[in-house]
Amino acid sequence: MGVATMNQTSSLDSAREPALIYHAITGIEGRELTGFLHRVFVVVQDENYELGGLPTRPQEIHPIDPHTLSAIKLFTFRGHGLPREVTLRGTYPEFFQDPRFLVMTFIADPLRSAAHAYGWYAAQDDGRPKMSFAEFLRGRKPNLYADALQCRWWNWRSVLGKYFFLGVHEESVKSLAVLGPKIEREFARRAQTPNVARARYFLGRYLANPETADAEASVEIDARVRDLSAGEVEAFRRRNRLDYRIYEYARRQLDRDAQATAEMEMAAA
Amino acid sequence: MNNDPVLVFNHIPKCYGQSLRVYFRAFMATHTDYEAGFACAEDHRRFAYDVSTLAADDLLIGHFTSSTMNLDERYPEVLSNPRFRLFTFVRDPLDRQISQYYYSFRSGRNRKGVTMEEHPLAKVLSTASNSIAGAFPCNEENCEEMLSRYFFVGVTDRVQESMRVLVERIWRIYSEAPRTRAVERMLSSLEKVRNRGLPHENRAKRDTQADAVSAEVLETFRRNNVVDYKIYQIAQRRLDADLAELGLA
Repeated sequence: MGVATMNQTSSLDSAREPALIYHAITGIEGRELTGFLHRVFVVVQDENYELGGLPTRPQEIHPIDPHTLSAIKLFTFRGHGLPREVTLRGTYPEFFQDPRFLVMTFIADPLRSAAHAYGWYAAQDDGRPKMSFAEFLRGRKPNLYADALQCRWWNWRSVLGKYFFLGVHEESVKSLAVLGPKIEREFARRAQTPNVARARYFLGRYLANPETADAEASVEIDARVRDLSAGEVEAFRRRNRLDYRIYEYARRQLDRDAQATAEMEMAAA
Repeated sequence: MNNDPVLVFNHIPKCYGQSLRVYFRAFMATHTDYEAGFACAEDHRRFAYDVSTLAADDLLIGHFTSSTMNLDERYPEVLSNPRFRLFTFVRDPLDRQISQYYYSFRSGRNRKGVTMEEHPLAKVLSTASNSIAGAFPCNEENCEEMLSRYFFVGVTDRVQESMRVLVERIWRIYSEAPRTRAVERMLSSLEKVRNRGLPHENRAKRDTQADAVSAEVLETFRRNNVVDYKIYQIAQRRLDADLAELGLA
């Protein structure tokens, strides 16, 4: 099922509230994205990361009840620090089967994502000597996006096609400029419940005054990436070919979505 | 139709509400319902939550205190359906009023653009009248009955004890409820928050006015806030009884 198919909503589905799912796979939050999510929705997370004591075995997790999600209650699945077997598709298969659920994710350049992860690693005050960024890259498990998305070379395109929206962290302002109207269009054609009306109200307020680019946060990441040799970058790209394929697909999809949004806005004007 | 128990927090201003919001946000989906997030009061009135969709891991929070936000008008279901469980915090009326005063001047001027010098604390204390009672709303005759709708009334001045009781009370509500996924999540989270420290947000800076309030002004304040003091005493007694009943004294 492709993105276009996911956007088609049967009359039966429109009687139920849409619910957004954010599949956080990069480890990068981004001020623009979190600002958007919290200004428009009530966010519920897969685990209580602030409280600590994360589950160490799959049977210790307490999944949310998908029936309790609504147009204003957005679910964020991170899976960070959880057992590897705990995945979005494995825990919540209905998110990819029931058109009520609109799953979105944001992808970053895999090298920048690794640079972000290195920042977290380097900041850990555990008394152990720290690897250089280049050593960190060599020891890092390759194709982590593919793992998080549960896809491989033979099915990555169809897996990504099931996502309502693919954003790009490096283009977060553009991504949100596409995502906001896309959600609005989707919500506008569903039943106008009080929750849908409230979400659309806050979405409208967000779109009238959106978050702006968070340039400062990327300075350290830029510096880390810049300090690598061309050979190190090339080796990383080779080891993470599938993740780069996913990233490039997300960029192209974002361009297509942006084009479609612009055309719809022109037609509406 | 969801039959989970749902917590509803009536946030009386300057009674530790912002800190509680932070506390609960770590493990619940906090549905805040404040006029401040809207362009105008009319928008706020129009876009209420559909509380029938709330579940055990949701918390509805708001100042359900003004004439446009009273629970019986905005969310009558919260009062009529026993699955909704109300709680609130009250505070020593004088402390609350002083805190409210400094909070209203946090940016140097209050909402009307007036400075502290133009509108001194003593003047506010001399004219304030039963703000806590107005928040429920209730009067001297029905305040006890009104408070009985709340499964828990915390006392800000005794926040450590209050939080121990609150968490225990919430634990009991969920442990007696049918074990839905959301209830299971809440029980798991409550186990973790039992030993968690308490935040303190939204603390307003103060000058020396509060230390120099005259005995006459204080007497006037006490006389004009009889209902608030009665509510405060009821809350204190309830907290003592809760502590004893739960073996937390």
